[in-house]
Amino acid sequence: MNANGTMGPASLTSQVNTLKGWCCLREVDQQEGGGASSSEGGGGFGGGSGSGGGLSGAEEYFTRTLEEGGGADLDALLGLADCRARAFDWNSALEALNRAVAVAPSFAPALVAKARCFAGEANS
Amino acid sequence: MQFFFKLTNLTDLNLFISAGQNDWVSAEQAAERAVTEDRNNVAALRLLALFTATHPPLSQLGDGGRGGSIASSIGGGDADADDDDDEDEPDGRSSSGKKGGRSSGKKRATVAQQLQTLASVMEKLEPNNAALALETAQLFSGLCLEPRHQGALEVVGHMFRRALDLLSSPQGGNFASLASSSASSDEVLAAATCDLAQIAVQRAAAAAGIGASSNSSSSGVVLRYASEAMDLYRRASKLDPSNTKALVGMIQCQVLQGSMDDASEQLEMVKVMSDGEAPDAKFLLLECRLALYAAQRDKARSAATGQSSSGKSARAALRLLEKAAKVHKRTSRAAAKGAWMGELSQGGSAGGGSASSGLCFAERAMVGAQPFVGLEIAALYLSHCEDTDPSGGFGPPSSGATSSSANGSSSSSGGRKKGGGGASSGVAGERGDALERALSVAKDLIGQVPSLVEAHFLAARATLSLDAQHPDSALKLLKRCLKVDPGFAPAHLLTATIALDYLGNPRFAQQALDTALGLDFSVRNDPKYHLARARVLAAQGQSEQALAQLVDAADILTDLKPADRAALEVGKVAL
Repeated sequence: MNANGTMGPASLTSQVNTLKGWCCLREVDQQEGGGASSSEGGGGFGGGSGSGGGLSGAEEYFTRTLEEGGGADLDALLGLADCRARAFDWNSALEALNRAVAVAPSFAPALVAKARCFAGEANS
Repeated sequence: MQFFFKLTNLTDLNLFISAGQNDWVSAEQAAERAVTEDRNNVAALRLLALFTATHPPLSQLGDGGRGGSIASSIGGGDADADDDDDEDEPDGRSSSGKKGGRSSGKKRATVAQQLQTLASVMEKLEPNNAALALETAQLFSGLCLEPRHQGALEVVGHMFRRALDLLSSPQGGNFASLASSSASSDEVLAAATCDLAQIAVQRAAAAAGIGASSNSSSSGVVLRYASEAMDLYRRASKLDPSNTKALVGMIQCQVLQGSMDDASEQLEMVKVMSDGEAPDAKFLLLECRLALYAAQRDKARSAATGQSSSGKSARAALRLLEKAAKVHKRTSRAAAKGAWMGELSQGGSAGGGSASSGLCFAERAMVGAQPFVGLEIAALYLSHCEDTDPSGGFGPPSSGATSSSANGSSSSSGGRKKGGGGASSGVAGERGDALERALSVAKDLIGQVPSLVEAHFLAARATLSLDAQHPDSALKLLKRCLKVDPGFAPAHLLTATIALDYLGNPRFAQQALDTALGLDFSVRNDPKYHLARARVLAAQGQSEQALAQLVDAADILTDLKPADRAALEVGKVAL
């Protein structure tokens, strides 16, 4: 079982990578609040395995988890969608979210994220 | 050529709305599914309420896609030709959405009902989350702009009050320090109090009517809301004396209360205090309203002394309006581009809870768009045009010298009657520019909030003034407006005017006037209503009753705008 209890067991490395990805996103949020350029990243959680921080770092961590776990880790898929939506790449975000919904069709947060993505696309 | 190009753009309006609508319908479906899985999901409930507040059901958006002219259908007294047109929907995600969504016939809950549900879920699941209450209230307060939204505004006001209570409590104090490192809790409280005051201002503005002129008589309802807002702004100013929003809000209340001279003095003081800081669109609009008031006062003085007015104040007002429009456009764009979809992960393992704070991209963009500012800009542009047109833009059709000679603005009324000769229908010069700007702002608003009936109405007025020979576009907009809110009396009134002036159908005009009166009795206080009624009577050969109607109107209405007074005079002469 992975963190969301929806799929088979995720390796410890995958769980760490996903967690690092979310930490990068939180860091981006904080930098955004402080006026720093979020898309360029600011170091911080870039430590280890050669990944940088910021959005690109987060995306890399989530991608690694997905590559390792067969692309079905719900948490990593949501994270990946978040990264892409932050870059206004709505189609890619929706692609990731569709995969998430396919993994767990009744997982409300994925459905909400999808709704927000569509609404975002409508407004951009 | 440029004029033709702009009208062609207007015909794309339906496509423009539908394009955004596609994604919104998909969003609505996804949110509905989320609510099915988790009926207490705050984010999904909020998105659904946002959709309802901003979008009419799809069945209300079709208009004449089968090529049927509304004007001809009205003229012939036929049934609607534009109901539920499916053909003109572009391909895309919404086509599937249309079949499954709430738009397929299932009755949609009102915004007020949805907000009530959302508020109770928030109180149940997040009883101490001041940030959530505050940002949800902020989101909807900017969207519930019309009289039909009074119920929704009530709920929004309740959310603001709850947020204020929480902010004043120890937990709220924690939030205040967390929300922004530089803001003190008093500053946060003052800002929230200003938001609550803004609700009262909106209610006052809705009661006064869109584009209400600064010197219009203030009704009891308007005064009550204005005084409520004034108290709140005073409280906010006490909490944070440096809060310019509170100072500007107080001036806005003075304008609503009719204390124009006091408002002008206060405005000058705030300008000095702001120390060269670039003013926002709201401040510029306030300045513009006061300049318009000064212009009208100058005009009245000149008329009394028999001298010609310099028009300096009017030009200053127009310049301020243009500046406000530019600032508003820039800030709306910046809001749309800068708003981030930060809380995509909400509810996920890293999101921390089912309803943590944070608006999504679409919600933040909606807050930043400030539709009420756009609405006021469009209304003021039109008001400016009507002040320069003796018939108020909607007087009787040109029949010789009657309407064309009164103020030198013959271009707006010449050749207005159906099939009326080859007179130029375009409007040139400053007035034409102002009309085009009003139309452009109204179009942007319709794109952002397709259910905003007042934007449709303003667009219809601008379209009609711009292209007097083709009232179809204006009628389409009015029809859409009435589909969203059948009780919107001004649209019935304008429909009657078009039926009379452009379609030569007094029977239909009378029907529209009766409907307007049946839905909103206060329409009797509008001189345009009496003018239209008199002209219907005249068209039916009842000249004496028509004249009596006009005399009654002139007697009853003592506080007329110059344009309205002139329109009555023009009507009398025509009769």
